[in-house]
Amino acid sequence: MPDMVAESLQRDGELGLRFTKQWLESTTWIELPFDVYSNAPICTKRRLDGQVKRYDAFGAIHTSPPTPVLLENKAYNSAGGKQGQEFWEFLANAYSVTAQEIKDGADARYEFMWVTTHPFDQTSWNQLTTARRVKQALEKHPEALGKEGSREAIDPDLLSTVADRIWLLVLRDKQESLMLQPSELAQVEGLLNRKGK
Amino acid sequence: MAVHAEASDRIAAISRARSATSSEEIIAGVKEIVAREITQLSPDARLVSTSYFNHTYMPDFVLEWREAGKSTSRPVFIRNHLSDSVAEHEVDALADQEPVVLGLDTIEGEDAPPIRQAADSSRLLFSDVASIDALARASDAVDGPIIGLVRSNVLRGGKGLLGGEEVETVAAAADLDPAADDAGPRLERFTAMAATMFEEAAATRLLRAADIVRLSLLAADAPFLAAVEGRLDDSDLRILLPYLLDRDSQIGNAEFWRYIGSMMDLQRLEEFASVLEGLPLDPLVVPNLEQWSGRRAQLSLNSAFDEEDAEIASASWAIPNGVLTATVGPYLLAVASSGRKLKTRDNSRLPAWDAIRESALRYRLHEVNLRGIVRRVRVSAEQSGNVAEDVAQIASTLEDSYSVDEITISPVGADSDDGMTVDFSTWLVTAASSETVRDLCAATIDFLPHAKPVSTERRAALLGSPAAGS
Repeated sequence: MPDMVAESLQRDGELGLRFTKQWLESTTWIELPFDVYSNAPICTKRRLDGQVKRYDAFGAIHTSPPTPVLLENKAYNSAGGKQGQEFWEFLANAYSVTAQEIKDGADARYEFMWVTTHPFDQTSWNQLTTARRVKQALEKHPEALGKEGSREAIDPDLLSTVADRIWLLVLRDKQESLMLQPSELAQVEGLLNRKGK
Repeated sequence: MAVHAEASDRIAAISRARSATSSEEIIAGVKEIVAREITQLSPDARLVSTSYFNHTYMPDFVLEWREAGKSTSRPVFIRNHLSDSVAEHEVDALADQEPVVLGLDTIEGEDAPPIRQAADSSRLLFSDVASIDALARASDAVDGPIIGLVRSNVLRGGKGLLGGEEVETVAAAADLDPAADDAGPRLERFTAMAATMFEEAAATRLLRAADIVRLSLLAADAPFLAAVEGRLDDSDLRILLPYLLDRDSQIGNAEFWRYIGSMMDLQRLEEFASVLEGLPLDPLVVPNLEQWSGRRAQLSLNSAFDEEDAEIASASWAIPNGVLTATVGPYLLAVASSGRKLKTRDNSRLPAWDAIRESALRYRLHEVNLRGIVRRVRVSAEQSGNVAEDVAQIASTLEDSYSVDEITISPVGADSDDGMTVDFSTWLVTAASSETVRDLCAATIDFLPHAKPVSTERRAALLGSPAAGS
């Protein structure tokens, strides 16, 4: 029985991710070719404490040069539940992953997208992607700054940089009727030439 | 013969490619595997990679090919995993583009029926790498026309699902042993599947081809009913013709070959020359001499002729160097749909009128061009009441010595009034508009070998037994 539940959850997760991918790609600005189900390694990033964080999808925004994007896809039915908690972790991880990349040699400029079916923390909603919020997230999850005994100091500039790279998006099923259809998009893709090829 | 990787190796390779740590590596790795499988199945199609990968609405590849002289293409989308629910979404999103949607993971058996269902009313083709590979393997292992036709048509005109079950059905219909009891039923199962597996035009052609193969399996004296009309596609004929010619000893039915001939013409035969090179074409050509038309014929000497072989009376049609040619004893007779392919010879000895008079009287004479030492004379039907008489009179004059340079003739009772011109110096016969291959051959063989005419047996063998009413 637990296997079937897990399988069913995974299938729901895959279908939900498929819809998010369809929505984001239909903006013509972003592509999400890779997901955790088939391309786990590229969706997995290292934190300052050596732990890995697995994201649901990986892709790029069609800026010049392209901007890499890591995406978390969430399906919630209410404002309650664990979403608030998970979002704190998401912010702390965003900082940690970015800091680790810089330590490894270069800033990969990852943007971090949180796509959810349901809003949360309504009273703080407008502050959810600020530098201050990221700092609070790190205070809640100090392990994101490194192993005990060798924790990094928080860099205020990096806080701002990371905050600027956070996207908090709400996607509802009903929006599908407002999306451009694949056949329409296929016709304009060449004209828009966002990938610049 | 292609070298196929083991299934487990292929699965491992796909997994490795998908697990690479950079975008470029993943895309290059996966596309390389998919491209290899597709080109193994369809070697004559061109696969163009795009700058997209696993994208909602832009394809990973575009498959390009030529059909009936026009360029056509079909988009190919790569997907990680095709399941029941995914398939429905893909049909909604992509049906307009009529693509091939190829899963990297093998489609589960239980998902096959709903996927088939989802694709039902569209022209989208679902498949997976495993099935593409299996079909390519089966096609390479078995040298039959059915599987060859499926192979060349499936990616271009396939729809629905090409999965394990479909590959099995196709493989079973291939390599038919005509003597086996189950040949008929196996072909029928294939026919039923082909109707659902291919879009209309491709399905019609495949069914017609299967019909032809089935009819060729029947006894030679079975009554023949051409229930299916129209012409086969070039690529279909390319596969069928060598197969049928090879089996003619079991077919041996002129009616059957006339049916095949009705689907093509001399020009198309010339286009297929590469697959027919070296094959004896008599079964196909002889019954269709009056059904096909040509523009030019040419006589030349058969350097391989041995006087000792004088007994063999058959015509031996073949298509060396892209030109349909009959071996008629000491001569070679080439027939072409246009003038461009034939080489000419210069200055053959021109005949005296007497040498060709008897043959000429069997035709309607439009014009005779005489060449004397001093002057040239043209006698044409427009000015002369009786061309043959006038020519005889001129030729018998003592003032000059005339030979015949060229004549323009029509077969007696022919509809076309423009006629053919027989040129005695270049050994070419040229039709003003077009003539049947038979009439071109007759004119060539009746006039050009005037110094050493061909025997009546050889002439009869070349022109085939006369059809009713000719």
